[in-house]
Amino acid sequence: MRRIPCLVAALTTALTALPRIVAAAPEPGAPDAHGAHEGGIQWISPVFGNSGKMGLLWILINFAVLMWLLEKLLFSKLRAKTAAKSDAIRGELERASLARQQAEGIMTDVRARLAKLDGEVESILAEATARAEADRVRIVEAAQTEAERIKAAAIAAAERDSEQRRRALEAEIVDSAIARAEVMLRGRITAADQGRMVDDFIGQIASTPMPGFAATAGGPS
Amino acid sequence: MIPGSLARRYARALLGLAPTPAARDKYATDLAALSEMAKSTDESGVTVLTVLTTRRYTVSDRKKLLDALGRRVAADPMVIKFLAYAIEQDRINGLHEITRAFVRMADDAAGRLQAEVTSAAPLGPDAIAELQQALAVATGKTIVLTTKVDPSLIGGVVTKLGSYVLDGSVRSALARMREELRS
Repeated sequence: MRRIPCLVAALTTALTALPRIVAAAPEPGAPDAHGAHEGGIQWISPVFGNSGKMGLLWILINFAVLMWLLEKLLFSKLRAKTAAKSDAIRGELERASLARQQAEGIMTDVRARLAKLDGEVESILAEATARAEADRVRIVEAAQTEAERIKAAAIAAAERDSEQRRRALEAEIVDSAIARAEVMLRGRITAADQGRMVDDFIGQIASTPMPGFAATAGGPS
Repeated sequence: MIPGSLARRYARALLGLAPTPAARDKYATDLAALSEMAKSTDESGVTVLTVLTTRRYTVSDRKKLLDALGRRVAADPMVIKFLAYAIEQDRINGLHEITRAFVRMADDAAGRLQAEVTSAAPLGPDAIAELQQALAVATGKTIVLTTKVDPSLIGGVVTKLGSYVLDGSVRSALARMREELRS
């Protein structure tokens, strides 16, 4: 379709040039002002006739062939390249337009978020304050619990220590008392006391069970 | 040393070799004397029992030593033969255990009971007799009494009948009192 305007343009150029060629041609029989031309337009002549001029029809045909060759070899490629560039530019323009729309959307979103930022900041601050308060309460409670546990453990340890010391003191008092009693008994036990203890011992033998020995009238088996 | 069960087996065998109660008592006396002699040591501290036990000496040499010891305490030939057999069987190292088992078996067979009485102060003959009589009545056996003195008892008496102990000492009473007060 694009070739048609080119051909039309070429033919138009050729036809518009024709009257000027005809007008410029000298009249037959009129003396040549310059003495250079004879005859006028020769539409058809041998390619290189005796006059040495090419016929106009041949020139047009030549021109048409030239245009056809140019169309085949040059213009079509130029047009394809131009169309490709045009498509690329159009695509770039579309992408740029799309990017611009996206940027405008982002800008709108950012503006909206900026508008809401104050509210979010207040909300975050309130939430952080609430969390900090909850953490404080939890830490205080944990510290109180730990303090109670440590206090209870310390009391228990102190009680154990006190009990041990009390027992140790009691044992020491008992040992001292027993040692004192032993010293006193060593000094005060007489032969009569020893004899009485032996007599008591002999009296106890009869009433003491003796397993493993034969049973008798005087003692258990 | 040898296990108690093995010592009792040897003691029972010797007891069966005694033809009469008197021979049984003689065997017991001889074994006790030989056992006591086996505890004696030479200048280097080696006991007679060690010499009888060690294999550095031949069996015949050890038997000769046993014969010499037997002659010294006038031991019954049966006891010497029995101990010579123990040397051959490599059981003479259990002489003390065999002796203890045999004396106990001989006492059981004769209705006797060994009693060891320890007192804080020496006991008078009357007290010993009364104690012996009381123990005889309580056990139904003839009491063979040995006495010891231990002032650490403070007062009272401790009587040992085999593995059975009757403790009437002031020291034990104080120890019991200490435990009761501590608990």
